[in-house]
This record gives sequence, structure tokens and C-alpha cells, in this order.
Amino acid sequence: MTQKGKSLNTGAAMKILRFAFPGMVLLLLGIWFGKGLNTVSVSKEADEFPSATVLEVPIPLPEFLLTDHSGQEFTTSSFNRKWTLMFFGYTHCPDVCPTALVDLNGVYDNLAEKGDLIEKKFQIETQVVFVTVDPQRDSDKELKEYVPYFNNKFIGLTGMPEMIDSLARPLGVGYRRESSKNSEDYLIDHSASFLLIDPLCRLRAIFSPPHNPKQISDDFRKIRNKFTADCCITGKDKLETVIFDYRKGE
Amino acid sequence: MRKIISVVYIVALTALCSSVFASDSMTVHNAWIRSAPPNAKVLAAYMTIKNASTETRALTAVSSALFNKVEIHRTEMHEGMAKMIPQKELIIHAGESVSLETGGYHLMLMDPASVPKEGEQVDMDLRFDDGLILNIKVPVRSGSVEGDKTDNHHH
Repeated sequence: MTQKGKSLNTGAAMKILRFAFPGMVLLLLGIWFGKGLNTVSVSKEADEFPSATVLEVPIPLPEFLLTDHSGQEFTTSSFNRKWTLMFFGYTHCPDVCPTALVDLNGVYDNLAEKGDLIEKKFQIETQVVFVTVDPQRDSDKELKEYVPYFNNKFIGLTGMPEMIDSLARPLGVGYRRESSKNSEDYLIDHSASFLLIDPLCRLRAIFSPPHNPKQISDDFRKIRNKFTADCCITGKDKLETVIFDYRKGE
Repeated sequence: MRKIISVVYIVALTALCSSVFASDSMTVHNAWIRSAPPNAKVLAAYMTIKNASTETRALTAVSSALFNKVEIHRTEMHEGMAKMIPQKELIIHAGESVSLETGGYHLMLMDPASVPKEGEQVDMDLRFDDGLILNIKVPVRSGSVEGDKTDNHHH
């Protein structure tokens, strides 16, 4: 399954790129001109999703191969048929990352309380993924002790620095190791947003800090209600078909 | 100096029950350390420090036997990027208070001898520019939404 996922059919890829390209250009321009991701905001009424910037043109995740905190392969297709909340951080981070993980746990609890972790119509699960931007210090073993502490369903991911780069960059996730400290104690500046990945493995929305778990879970529900059908069109069978087309090499 | 310390210590001890630590000029409220995974290499402490004196004071250093090093930091968000800025000192103007809270000022606690568990108390010395040393005991608790988002904001 994961092997197959790596070979993207060129035609399908071009098709996706043609749609995604304007979005990516806008996104990058937004970052370069320092106006942030809000410039690609799409939703006409800003009030529709107070905590989220929803992308009109969702950005497909690139092909990548990472390792989860149990040592298993985690690839692009691990996002298939799931709504995923994703955060990039590192375990030597005192303030922002623990806060983010606590907030994500708040979102998760809000959904779980209402029996809402699984989208009902198409039975789409929700997963939460923490990707390290510090693979040098964050091995899968480190992540295994760290990430589940906040919620034992959360998944920690690490891997080759180039792989993490190749996942982060197209999504507009920036990070930079600060140079002033010695080689042991360094800190990393990093994007603090939560990313929402749709069941077709595309970046669909961005939750910028400061994060309000209650508002995020409400908006997540609304986004899911609005877009799950787009990803699934006529139900389960169709969803399988769409994903199959997307990864035609399978 | 020793006298000041012992006075401060006694005041701090008597104030323990209400978790307010005070000299005649400086008081610390709502101090807490966010509980962290057993392999955490850094933790953070938050609190509100009030300067009741008529002079501007600065928190210049913090130490704790449990941690190899403690630094004063400030998280800054810029275009969605989080950056940690080490602070040489933390200025507290006369009659004002400064809150250390998630996403802002915090004490970065590095290299714990062992990661303290929820419910434990951690000893810390806060040093101010006038020589005052405030010994405080900081409880460890989870950074749940109810805890850190509502408690510390308006002091």
C-alpha cells in the first residue's frame, strides 16, 4: 500500500498541479510579502469559520515517507479517508508546542464528548498528527514517550530532514533553527498553526494561533460538513474511486 | 542580605497555603509549571509578578535545584511563526504587575534532574535587581484549557 502510494501517475499529478498551482503561488506570495496565509482566505464571509482560513483551492500533500512513533511507515496515503489535524513542532520546545498539544487535546475532547470523532455520513475518522521539525533530537522513541502523553491517540512523526522539508514547504510551514546557541541547546522558530488535511490528502484549512479549542472544534465540524461530501461525492464507493484516480499508480 | 532572605523565606512560608509569595514589595501569584512527558528536556513556568514598591524593579535571574538552567523567555508570534526571545531581565514597573503566560513571557526550565510530576511543588529562587531573592514553591499541573486560559489573564 505504502509502496504503491509513492508512484504518482504523471497525468493525475499534472491535473492536480493545474488546480493547485494558483493556490500555491498565492500562498507563497502571501508568505513572501509578509501578509501571512490570511491573504489566501477564501471563504467570502470571514465570520463563517472564525478560527480558520479555508483554502478555496486545497493544496495536495506531496509524496513523502516518514516514521510514526511506533516505528511504522507513515506516508501521504496515511491521510486517505481521514480528516487530519496536523501540527509541526519539537519536543525541546517549552511553551508553544506543549500549549499546541494541550489545545489539540481540547479539540479532540470536544469532538469525543459529542461522539463526533467520526464523521457520520461517510464514516470518516479524525486523526491528530505531530510532525517534528527537529529530527536530529526527536527520534521515534523520543516521540513515543512525548506525544501520547498529551493524548494516546495522537501520532508523532519523524524522519529524514529532507522528507520533513518536502512535506512542510508546499504547505507553507516554515521553520528555522536559531543560530545563537550552542549545538546542544538550540531552539527552533516554527510555524505555530494547525493544518487541516482533508480525506483526499489535501490541505484544506489553517487554524492560526492563538488557538481556541472550542471554536476550532466548532469550525472543524462545519468545514467537515461542508467539504466531506466534495471528497466523497456519492458515498463510500465514490470516495474510493476519487482516491484511486488521484493515485492512479496504485 | 541573609536577613532579607530569611525574612522573605518566612513570609513565603506563611503565604504557602494561598500560593502567594511575597516580600513587602514583590508578590508572585498563580505560579505553575506545566506538567510534561517523562522524557521532556524543557518545561515552562508561568506566574504573575506584582511590584508594589514605588520603584521599577527587574527580575534578573531565576534558579532551581531541579533544573540545570532557567532562562527568562518571551514567545513572539510573527506571521504565524513562533519565535522564542531570551530576555536579559523582566522589567516590572512600580505599582504594576507582569504576567508570564502561555504564548508570552515564561520561564524556560532546562535539563531537569527528573521531570516533576503533576501535583509536585518545585522550589525556585527569583532574583531581582535590588538584591531581593524570592523563594517560591511552584505547583506542577496540566495545562488544561480551564487552568491556563482563564486563571492567569487579568491580574
